[in-house]
Amino acid sequence: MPNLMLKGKVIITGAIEAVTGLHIGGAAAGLDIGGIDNPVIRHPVTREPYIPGSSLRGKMRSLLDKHLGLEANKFIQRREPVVRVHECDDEEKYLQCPACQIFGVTPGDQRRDWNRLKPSRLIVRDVLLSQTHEATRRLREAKTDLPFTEVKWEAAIDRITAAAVPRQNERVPAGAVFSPFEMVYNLFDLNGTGIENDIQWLTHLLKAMELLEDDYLGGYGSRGAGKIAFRELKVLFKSRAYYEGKVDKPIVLGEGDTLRDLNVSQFAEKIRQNLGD
Amino acid sequence: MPDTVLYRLHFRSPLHIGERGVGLEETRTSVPADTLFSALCSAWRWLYGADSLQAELLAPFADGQSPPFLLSSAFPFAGEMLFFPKPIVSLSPPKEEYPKKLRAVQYWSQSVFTRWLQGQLTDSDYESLEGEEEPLFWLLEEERKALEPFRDGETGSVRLWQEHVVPRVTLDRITSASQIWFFGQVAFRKGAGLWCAIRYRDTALRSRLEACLRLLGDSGLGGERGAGFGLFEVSVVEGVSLPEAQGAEYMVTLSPCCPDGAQWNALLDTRCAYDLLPRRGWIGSPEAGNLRRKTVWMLREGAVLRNAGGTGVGRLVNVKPDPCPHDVWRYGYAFPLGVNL
Ligand SMILES: [Zn+2]
Repeated sequence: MPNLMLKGKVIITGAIEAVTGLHIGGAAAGLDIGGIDNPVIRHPVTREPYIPGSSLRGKMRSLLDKHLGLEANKFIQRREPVVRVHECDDEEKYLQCPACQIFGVTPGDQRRDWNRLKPSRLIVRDVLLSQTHEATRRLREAKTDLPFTEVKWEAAIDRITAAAVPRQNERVPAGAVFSPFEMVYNLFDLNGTGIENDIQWLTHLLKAMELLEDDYLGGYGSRGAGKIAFRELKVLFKSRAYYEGKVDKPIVLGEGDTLRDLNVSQFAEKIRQNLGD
Repeated sequence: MPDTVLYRLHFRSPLHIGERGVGLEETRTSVPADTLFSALCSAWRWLYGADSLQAELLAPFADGQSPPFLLSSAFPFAGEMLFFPKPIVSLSPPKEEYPKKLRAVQYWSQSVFTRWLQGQLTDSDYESLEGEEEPLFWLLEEERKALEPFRDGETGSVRLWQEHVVPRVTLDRITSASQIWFFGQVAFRKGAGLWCAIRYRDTALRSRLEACLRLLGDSGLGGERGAGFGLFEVSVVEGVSLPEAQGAEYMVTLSPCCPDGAQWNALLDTRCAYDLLPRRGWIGSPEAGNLRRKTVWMLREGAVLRNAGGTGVGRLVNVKPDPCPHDVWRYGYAFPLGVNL
């Protein structure tokens, strides 16, 4: 049996600022019909807009896949519309693939040995509208069309008749802040081979965050929506000793208001120094 | 009584605990002890390795030994108040049968539960149920006041969580076409969460079990962990005495329990009551995460049995399916509290 040990967890926290209007759809499900053609997803408890962790995770994965030139080879849905993602399908490729190492591979055919032992390294939480930022107070007081959002009218052009059909799209206005944002990344040691690979893949995760800032989240990206920025970042390392209560506090790997302030190149050394065993 | 330590789990993200193994929409508001135990085992393996899991955590539970600790399921709490599973009994005396309102109730408050254990429930205790539509909790009048912050503005009922079905979407990497599915989640309100208890017979395991519990807080409990579900902070409450009728002839279990054949006769008589609960699902290990474990039937939390005493009622059950490369142990020990029927 392969010996897989957890050496610690890297916890990335911070805030997400909507630099332009943000539309993460909630209506495709028909759950939230309120007269808007394209409402944003709202938190079931607070009714405030939020960013689902799965959206963040999916977008970061897709951008990293493209950045690394990985093939979208796995079918999530074969009937129309076809939905494909990348997932390595043999051990050799998998061992070298940062995307599959970070985001995981869904268990497949049990008879194929290589499908075993594919631990997921990354957790991404849902991000709620900040309750402490000034931006939320302003949104609460602003006379927006719907609570915390604005409605944009857009003309959709019928592909055949070229007639313009007016549609309403709901967006969270630029300036909104979502917080706390949290990602948890596992550092493993497989069969005593150490954690150097896992540290390398961590830098790819930070790369994926950067790629996301330069792309967009949610819908209407080609029309300028969905530009986001990670802010107020803090990257912590929790070793096994931390979970055992032998170390009081997590180690701070990096801290800063933007991704560029984090000094990612120093993470590896700080982790090595603080493994605690 | 051996050391009982109480753990409060303060969730910082929603929770999905699958129900009945079909569909992802159903979710429950408690975490059965066997689910919790399996999660602790996987955390143990991450921290201390598979060999240590086998030798130091599982082996002491082997047949014929008294288990090194007993684990309860995790039930709701609000502020300082603990809730307990509704016992599976008909309430007599003093009432001939369950008042109708009690059917919707899922949990009893600590005071109600304590009075029941002592055989001291009175008619007026039932009246405290009258004010609410479909109450989920049975509370005494004075407890209701303490839970004022948890009252739902519309219905006036105490609500510690919100249950919802939320959509999840996967996008095509090239065309951005979408596939959607649905997912049930429970979001606890601030100040509420789940508590569980561990009764240690051997305190040598305690610090490592607590490390596992804290690790689980950052790994997630239940379904959709990759999407950040089931994350929590742990707080530890020492020196707890759970309500119990000392030396009672019967007991109620706070965990699903799976007695072996030899134990059955000693556990049951005509005053006992139980529900059977199928425990099925997927295997959590990295080697066999794509396999379904064998179904095992257990007595649900709240089952009332004879207080057989001895070294522990129940066992670990091997639910390994044939293709699985390793044994799969499911926790099935009762967490007994004495009750005077
Ligand atoms: Zn890959």
